[in-house]
Amino acid sequence: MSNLYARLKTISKAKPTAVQEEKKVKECAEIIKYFDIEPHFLPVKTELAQLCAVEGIDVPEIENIVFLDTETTGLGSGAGTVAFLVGIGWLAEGRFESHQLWMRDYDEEEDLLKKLDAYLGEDKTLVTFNGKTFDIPLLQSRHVMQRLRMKQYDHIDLLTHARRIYKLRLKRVNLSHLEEVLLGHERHDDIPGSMIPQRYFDFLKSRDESLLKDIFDHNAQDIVSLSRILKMVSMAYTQPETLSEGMDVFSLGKGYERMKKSENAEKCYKLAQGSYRVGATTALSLLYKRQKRMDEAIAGFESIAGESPKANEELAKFDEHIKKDYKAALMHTDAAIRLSDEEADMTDLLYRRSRIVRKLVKEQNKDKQDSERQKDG
Amino acid sequence: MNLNQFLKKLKQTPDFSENVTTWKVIPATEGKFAHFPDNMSPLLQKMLINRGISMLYTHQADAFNASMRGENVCVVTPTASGKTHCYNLPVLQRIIDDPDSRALYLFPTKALAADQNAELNEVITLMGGDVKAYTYDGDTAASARKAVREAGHIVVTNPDMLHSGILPNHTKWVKLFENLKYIVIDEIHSYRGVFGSNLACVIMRLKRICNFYGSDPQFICCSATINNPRELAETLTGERFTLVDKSGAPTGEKHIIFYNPPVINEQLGIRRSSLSETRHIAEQLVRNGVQTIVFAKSRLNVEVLITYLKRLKTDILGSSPTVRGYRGGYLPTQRREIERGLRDGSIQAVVSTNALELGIDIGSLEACVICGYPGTIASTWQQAGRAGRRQGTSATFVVAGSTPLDQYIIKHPNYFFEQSPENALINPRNIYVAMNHMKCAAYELPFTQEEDFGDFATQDMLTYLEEENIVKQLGGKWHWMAEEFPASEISLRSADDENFLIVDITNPAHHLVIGEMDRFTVPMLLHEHAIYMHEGSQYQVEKLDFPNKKAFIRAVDVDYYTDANLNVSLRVLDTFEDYPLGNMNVIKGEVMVTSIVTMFKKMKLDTHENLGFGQVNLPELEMHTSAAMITIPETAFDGMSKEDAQSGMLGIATCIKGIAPLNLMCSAYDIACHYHVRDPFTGKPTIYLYDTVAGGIGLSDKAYEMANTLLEEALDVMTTCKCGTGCPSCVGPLGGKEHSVRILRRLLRDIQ
Repeated sequence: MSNLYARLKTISKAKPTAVQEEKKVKECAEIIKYFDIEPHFLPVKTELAQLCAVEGIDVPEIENIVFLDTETTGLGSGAGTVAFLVGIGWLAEGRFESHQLWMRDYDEEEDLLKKLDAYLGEDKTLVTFNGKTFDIPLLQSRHVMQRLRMKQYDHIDLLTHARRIYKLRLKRVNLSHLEEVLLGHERHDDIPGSMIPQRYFDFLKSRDESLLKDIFDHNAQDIVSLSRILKMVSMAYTQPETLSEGMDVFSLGKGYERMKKSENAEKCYKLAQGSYRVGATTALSLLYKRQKRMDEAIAGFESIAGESPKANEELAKFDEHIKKDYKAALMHTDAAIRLSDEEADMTDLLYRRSRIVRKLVKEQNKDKQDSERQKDG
Repeated sequence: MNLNQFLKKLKQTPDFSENVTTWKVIPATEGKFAHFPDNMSPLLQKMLINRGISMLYTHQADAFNASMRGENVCVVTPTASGKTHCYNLPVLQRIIDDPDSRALYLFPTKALAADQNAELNEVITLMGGDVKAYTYDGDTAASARKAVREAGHIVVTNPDMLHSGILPNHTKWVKLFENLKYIVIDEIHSYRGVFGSNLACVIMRLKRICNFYGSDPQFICCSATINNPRELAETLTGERFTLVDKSGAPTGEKHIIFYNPPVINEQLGIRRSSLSETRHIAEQLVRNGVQTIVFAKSRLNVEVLITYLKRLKTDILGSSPTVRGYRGGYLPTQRREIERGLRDGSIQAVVSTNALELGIDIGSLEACVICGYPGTIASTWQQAGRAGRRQGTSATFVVAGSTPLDQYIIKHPNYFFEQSPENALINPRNIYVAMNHMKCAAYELPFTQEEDFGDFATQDMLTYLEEENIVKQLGGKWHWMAEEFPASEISLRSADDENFLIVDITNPAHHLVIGEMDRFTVPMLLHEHAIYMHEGSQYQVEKLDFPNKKAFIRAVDVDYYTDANLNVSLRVLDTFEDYPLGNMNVIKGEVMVTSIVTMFKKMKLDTHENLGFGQVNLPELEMHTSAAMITIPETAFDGMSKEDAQSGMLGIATCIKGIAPLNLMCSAYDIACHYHVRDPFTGKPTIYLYDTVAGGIGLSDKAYEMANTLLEEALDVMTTCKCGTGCPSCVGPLGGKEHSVRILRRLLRDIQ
């Protein structure tokens, strides 16, 4: 910026007489598309019950669900980020209908938001992916900027649920990765999200609409995907046994446990024991322990002793504090140390070990004294 | 011995009193009181009575009444005069009258905000009623933020958070902005320099947002004693203010004692060090049970003084006094603990940098010892104000250092006592600062074609941003058209966000973060092998991880400290105007100042003798700022050897640096002087005076106009100084005064 003074001088000299542009509300653009979807990809109302219970919302009629995804000029939800494209879709008469509202320039935003509000009407339930932290706060912010007020809607954010169920196994849970792994659907020539803002700015300068085609396709795919992921997720809640991977059922169980729904958690862990034995059994036994079902807990830990450091550690605790069998406690602690590869756990385990050894020595000394006393006696 | 007896004895001790250049006694004053205003809510009156207050001080009543009349109020008050009531009362009155009302409080630091929020909540509890005051800053838990945004009547924050957290997300603060009635800015005197220029722009942005939501808040600003409080408040906010500066608070008797350490080497003009004299005075105070605050100018001196005072034995049992340090770089919890200890008396002495100058509540101490003139009249009074109760005697000792400025002040006490305190300077027209904030403002709300951002050529600047593809003009508005979040790239303080962590690795199993430090100080104090002192304990820096901003230190016990040498070089970027002065040329321009630490000295504790050197390998730091340059004709060196010319130039630069703060009315740290015997840019010998604040705050502009005066005064100081070849009070300890004088005489003769 060191030549800022010089630049400003040039600008000041070259300044043309300002042309007052006419201020009026301009209409935004809209693209309507229809998709045929195989019926088994569509959720039905009964399947939504458990998911909605978890969300704490009423179960909506299928046709009152609106899938929503925005494309924006940036990642933050501050006042300078604009949603230049809002894609919404719903199921109507057995097929999927999407409406993409978009602005050809900034002066179409007011109309875009009003049209969006008109489509959403009163009692819709929104389904988004990361909408709770991003899309909806951003749209609310845009409404404020246009001096409009956005209504509150019931809202299912699928990211929360996808994280809960699939994160452990898939590591990444973005929409296209989920599609690929869960639905076997691979996207071709999909524009990376990070390129979208610049692409739109380029369009604003060149007015070349073909630049936006990739964005429209990307957005439409996202909206359609939302309906399929909704199906997957709601099925997982309704019938965990339909989840093909034990790890996912296990994760769902963990989720239920965090929500303090022990019964559901127990059911999931039991289901997961088939293909994710050690992890699920550990979690299940810990759950039993918390519920004071000690016999079941110990049986569970014993069934996987030598396979899970946690199980051996728990057995060591039980032996040390309940059974006062320090030899057994020492044996389980050592097994846990051999199995553990977490440094933090190691410190705890070593601390436990030295305490048990102390008790053991004390006990042996006492035994010795006792026996000597007996001899003396 | 109590303080009165102690002072009496001191006066009779020749060893002490012969070094005193001034002993001024400011008599006690009585309080001036006013009845509660008629329109003050019974809830507030009840609260005051509950706090044991039956009448207001006159300034509190003045501030309340002016606020109720709808005026913006600027309150100037000394320490401990009940300042917070000046804003809390009108704000709470407004919220009682209309519970939808909102207020925003700005404090320069998070620590002060936390402090004031605690006090405010105490007041609210005593008052009863449903008023919610919250702090909102980097420490606010994410889960609590929503409640603050929606329910907080009073949001207590700092300028940085307003700038990067609240304003860019104003759509989440609709309730606050729609109902904002008061903006309180406390400690406005601390918004000097570039921080002030930045705040002025942040306030412009804040007012734009208020305007968007249809609110038009009133301002209440508070300042310590400076010369231009109203002007500063008006520059910061762009509003007109009513000044309330007649304090009604009573004050106890106050002794101000100027102490000049005795000369120990006449020839070289060397005085005993201010550090050891400060130590001596502070030790006597502490030994006599007088709660004392000691101010030192650098963090290093703070730590050295703590080490000394901690060694003190206060009774025959050999117990040591509780002495603590207080400075930037201590962790917040540690600071809170120290503040509490000072208030409840469990800490007998505290040694601080100017960090405690600000209005942190530490109660009032009895005595204050200032090691070295703080650089400005205003901050000297601020520091002295830390000692002083409403009743009873207090004393402040100013111990002079050997710099020209210190020596001038200590020998001319009238200058200090009669001159009004300095202006707090900010440059509201710093176009670089404004351009940054214009970006933020454009992000927050599109500019219209008619809109002005302060006095700036707003539409031209927006055109510039359009050319840079950051905004787009459409439908009479300038729309933000970039992915970036501009506020995150702009720091209001020059180097604040790049703090280094200081990690104690003495216990390998337990690495402990014990403090932090800004990046400009790190090369000086945390280079490898440096002895770093923290709370009086010594540590050696084992490793400085510059890229990751971490310094790893280990506890040691050694008898020396380290002192790093800072090398500065300078490059001209651009020049704007110039004028001839005799055979010289005076130029205004912009420079890049590069600083690098290349070596350090090991100094023995107690004797301060040099024990050796060490190398430092660290990257250099750059700063872009404005400068005044004086080029000198080579003929001024006629008949002088190269070495003589060199030492003459060094002497002139040292002397100008010493006297410039007096002429420019600024702190000694805000302006620097540099010279080149042959300058690569001008091709001639050149003297530079530059603003040490990045971007400049207008001091060098003033120096540009005063070049003649500065040179004349420098010559005057040199010729009237009684030393032989040069001393720290004129051209510096390296001597060469005759050459400096010769060069200056030639230059000034040419002007006539």
